[in-house]
Amino acid sequence: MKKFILKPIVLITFVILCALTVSCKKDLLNIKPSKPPARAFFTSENAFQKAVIGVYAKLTGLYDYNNINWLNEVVLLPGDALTTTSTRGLETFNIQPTSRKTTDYFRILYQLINRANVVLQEIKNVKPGVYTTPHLKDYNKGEVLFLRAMAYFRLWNLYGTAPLVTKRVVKLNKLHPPNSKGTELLDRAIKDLQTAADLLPVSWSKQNRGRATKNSAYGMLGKYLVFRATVTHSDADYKAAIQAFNKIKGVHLVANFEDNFDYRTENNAESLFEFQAGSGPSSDNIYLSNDADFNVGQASAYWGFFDNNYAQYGQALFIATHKLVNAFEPGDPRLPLTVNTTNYHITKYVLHNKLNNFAAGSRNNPRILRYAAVLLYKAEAVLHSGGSTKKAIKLINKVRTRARNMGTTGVPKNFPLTETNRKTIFHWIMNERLRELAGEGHRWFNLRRWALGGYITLNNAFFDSDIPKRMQFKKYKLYFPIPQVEIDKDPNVKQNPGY
Amino acid sequence: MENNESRYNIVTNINSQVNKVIKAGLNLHLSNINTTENTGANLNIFKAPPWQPIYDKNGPRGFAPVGKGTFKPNPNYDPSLLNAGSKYIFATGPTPLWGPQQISNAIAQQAYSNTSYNNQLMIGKAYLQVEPLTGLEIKGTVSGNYYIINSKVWNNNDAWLFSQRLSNPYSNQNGTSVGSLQLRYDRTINLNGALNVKYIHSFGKNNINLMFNYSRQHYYWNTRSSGSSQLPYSRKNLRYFAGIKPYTRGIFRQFQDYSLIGYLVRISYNYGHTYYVVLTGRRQGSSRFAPDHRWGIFPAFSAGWRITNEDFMQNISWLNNLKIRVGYGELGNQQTTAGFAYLVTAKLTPHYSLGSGNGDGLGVERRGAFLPNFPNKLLSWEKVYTGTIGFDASMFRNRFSITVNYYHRNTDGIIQAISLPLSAGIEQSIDVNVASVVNRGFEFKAGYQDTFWGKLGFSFSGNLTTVHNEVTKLYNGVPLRGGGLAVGRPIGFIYGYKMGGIFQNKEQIAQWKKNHTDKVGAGNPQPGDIYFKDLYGPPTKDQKAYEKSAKPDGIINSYDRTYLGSTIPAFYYGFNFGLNYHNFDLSLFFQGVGKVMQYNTERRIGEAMSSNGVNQWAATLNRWTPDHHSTTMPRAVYADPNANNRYSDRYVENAAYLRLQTVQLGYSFPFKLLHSTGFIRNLRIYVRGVNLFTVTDWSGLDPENNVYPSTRQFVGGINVSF
Repeated sequence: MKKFILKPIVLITFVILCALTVSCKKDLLNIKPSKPPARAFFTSENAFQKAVIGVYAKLTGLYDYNNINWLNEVVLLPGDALTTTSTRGLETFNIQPTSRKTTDYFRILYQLINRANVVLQEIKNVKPGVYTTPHLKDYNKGEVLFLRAMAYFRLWNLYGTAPLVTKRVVKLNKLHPPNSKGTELLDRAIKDLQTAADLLPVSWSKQNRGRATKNSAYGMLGKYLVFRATVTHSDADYKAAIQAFNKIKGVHLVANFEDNFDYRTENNAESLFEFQAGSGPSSDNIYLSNDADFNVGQASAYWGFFDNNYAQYGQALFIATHKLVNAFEPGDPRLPLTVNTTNYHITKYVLHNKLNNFAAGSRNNPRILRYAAVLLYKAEAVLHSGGSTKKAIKLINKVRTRARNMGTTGVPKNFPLTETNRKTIFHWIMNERLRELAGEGHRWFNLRRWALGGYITLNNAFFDSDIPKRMQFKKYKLYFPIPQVEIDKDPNVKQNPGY
Repeated sequence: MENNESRYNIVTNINSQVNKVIKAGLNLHLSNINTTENTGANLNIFKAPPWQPIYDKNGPRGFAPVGKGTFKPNPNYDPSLLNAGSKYIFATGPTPLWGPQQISNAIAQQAYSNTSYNNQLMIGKAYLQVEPLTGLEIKGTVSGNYYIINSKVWNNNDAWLFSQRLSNPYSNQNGTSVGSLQLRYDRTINLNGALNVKYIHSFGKNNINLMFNYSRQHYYWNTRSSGSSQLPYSRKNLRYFAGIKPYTRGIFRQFQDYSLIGYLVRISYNYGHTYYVVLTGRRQGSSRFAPDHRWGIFPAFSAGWRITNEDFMQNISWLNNLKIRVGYGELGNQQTTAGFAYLVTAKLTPHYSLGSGNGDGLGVERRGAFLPNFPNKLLSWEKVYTGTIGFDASMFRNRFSITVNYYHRNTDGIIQAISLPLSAGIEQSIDVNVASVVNRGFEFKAGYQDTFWGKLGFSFSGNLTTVHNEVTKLYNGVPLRGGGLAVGRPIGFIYGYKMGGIFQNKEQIAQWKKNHTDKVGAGNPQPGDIYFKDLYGPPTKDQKAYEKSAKPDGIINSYDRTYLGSTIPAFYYGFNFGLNYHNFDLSLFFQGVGKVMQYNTERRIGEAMSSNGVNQWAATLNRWTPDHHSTTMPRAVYADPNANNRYSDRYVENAAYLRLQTVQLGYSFPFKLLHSTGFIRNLRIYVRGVNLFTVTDWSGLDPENNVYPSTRQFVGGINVSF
């Protein structure tokens, strides 16, 4: 080995090359992404508008056709108003942790929450001068708080103990939130709505009709307070709900009940918030999600399960239960606008419908909160917080009067103001809700809160006297199972009891 | 199905020795390939109801339509609007002809559409090599690939009759179009530069080899596409389109863009070709990681000892070569991530319409945005640490050779795309250094070749590799249950329920229900339903939330899912036989894998017996019925209330196989005969069979790929050289 000496020139070359490698520029590795990084994106007011629209747009997944996997079923089928011509797990309460629709509903709600959390974080950190329009920053914050509250509310109503995620997560080790407890989800939704109501505008310009307003937030706030009050029996909540409802301005029942389900009369005087069903700018492909493509991703709602659209591909229709039809007095003008009494098909939303180019998706907006529902919530709040029974009955009668004035039969008559039995009046409210709002996706949430609050008892016969044997309702099913995918990936989340 | 291809290649190789010291070269390969294929092939066709026909003599082009319908002008059609609507709408129909369970007639659809490709490939390489001293070689190389794929997808509107969807063919055009055309232009460029310095020097018995290498690579792939649903003619030469809104659209997208820089220093030394030592140092940078995590250093070391060169081995004449090797090294892998996982980027696809009301049900579509991904700033190189020990030997005048290796490979920070908990609300899966995985096993190779009676040549070679794959650590210690990743298990293992048996009667059910509740199904089993095994219970107080108790709790729920098999074969093997006699030669190549399980997804579709719209396999004839008490195949029941089709070992199968991969028989014409022609130097004819038979227990089409099975080929060929 001693004899081995490198020739100097070789040594020099070798050393020079080694030196070169160390000093060599590393610019080659600085490749820029082909999509705007978040930091570069949130630099204009316009970008914030897009991000807020992105939160609204996530609602699409809850109402669209979704490639034969419509999720609206999750809130429509459980309950006593609708049934099917076949066996659907969501109707009979055969819901498993692996059930697809309850899993997808859960997924979409958290995606909405995450989108909202991103916007909230970016608004918090926005540099001065990015927002140029006065108040728009506050409006935007109010909008996403409002939308996020809706997601919390639905999580609470469906899964009960789903995790409460209030901040955008950007670290891998922060991805495992635990179950929420009690009314935590609802509490947060209420808190957010209180903030949102302060921030939101009274109204938007004509081109922006459909965005959340002060009225939307107060309506929703009152509703959620009633929900919490029902399960916690809190007088304060009922009273706060009445206060919130009283802050709603310039909203009234429209003369024609049907205007609430007609594509031509969307965002009308009775409406507090709707999903703004639309269509893609060049087409509305019912097999592509809204996120898939700006031009053709679907933005429409789907109602084909009511009127047997071809896109049902033979799947069972959602039709009225006998209970629903029997709940109407003969001659109630709302009945034919809700159910076809010959074949029990639902007529709501599909009498005046407007289909997209696929002839399946619809631009008819699902009404998420309308004033008739607010009046009935208010009636309940008045009644249960020890308020005047007369006042409560008057509120129910407002809803009945609108219906009665539509026809010539004099039905439905006003309830007598002399009634003082609060139980009787409460039954009036519950039944009026069934008649007025059947098929609008609220029934299960209401039944659930009344059952949790001990006002009613749910059993198989309650839901549908036609098929009590197929019903598999048990008390633990007031909480739908947390999706198995969540349990598998988040070790801190426990399954709801019973599953 | 009709597919054809034409191909032109030009290859040039220019190498020039400029002078004693400098050498330069330029190689170029150009290729132009045109192919056309009918598209829309869909193996889902096996789901079609058996009464749905494919052909119909009286149908369009001889195919049986899926539906029927007639059209009328659309009163709402307004060409002045951007969204004009359909010019025609259905007057009658669309009516499915074969019931709601029918599916597309894929064979007919293929006849109505095709895809043609024009692919152009350019590979170039230029180098300059300088040898200033004997043994020192400095070489600079620049090379590049330029690859273009031009594709045209043509769909004839008449094909709507054969589609399951039966959607209005006029829905996306102004009423005069006959079809749609999608064009796509994909361009891939891969540029490489390298500088290589080599120095070889020997003195006495010392042989030294120094090497330094610097390389850089930049790869990018983008695509332009455009398409129109407004085409006036269907004839091939007349398929053009103009920019008519909103029917014509164009898109540009960047798919991939990454770069790599690498430095390598290697010092090899051997003494008398008996003792070997190699030291390697690598430093690599990849644009795919965040700036702080871009660079990795990967050293390696190996040593060898050729025992047969030692003096004391010289008497052993039957052993021609014996070398013992040992090595340890690190390598980095970055190919499993597409890059930018550390960044959050905005996606501009969501949209929502505002402003509807007062008679207008639509309003104006507004563009939205969201951040679909999650920034994993910590993502870095997947590091592979490999230790090997083994020997090579050849003996009996090199007729017999054998190689044995033991390897132990620890992959640290294996990169996998995982989907996060739903509660994270992240809409795309993200790349994570998710786990550490050990792979270890033996590699055996042996060969034998000989000639008998001077004419019959015989050769045999075989190889066997054993694999033990085991996850040793997870990124946060949490098994991604159901995700095929858990400590102590092979990666991608099958996880599910175990089938107990089939209930034969009500008494048996009543007995079982005394101690068991099934929470996966509706909990109301009937004779003919499957009962699943109760194996575990919920975690005890001392256990973590994601663990489970080994004590069965009488409830069949997600805790009872268990390990059902590894999808990684425990061993791979292959062997070759060769024979030649006079001018004939014959070779056989077998290949196989052992001890591997797979979930047969296609059988699950074909034997689920639970929904409409899916034809079922013949095996379901053996299903449980009141008169046929099957113990393996449950009853057929709509909607599967008992969840007989839950993810269980019912569909897990042994996917081991042995395959005769190729057989080849050839004949080379004798040299003397060819010589007489004066211009043919070499002429050989052969026949070859590929994938001739497979021995396996797998019930599907192919244990390797059930959806696109390997093709069986028979090839005949002639090789001529002039």
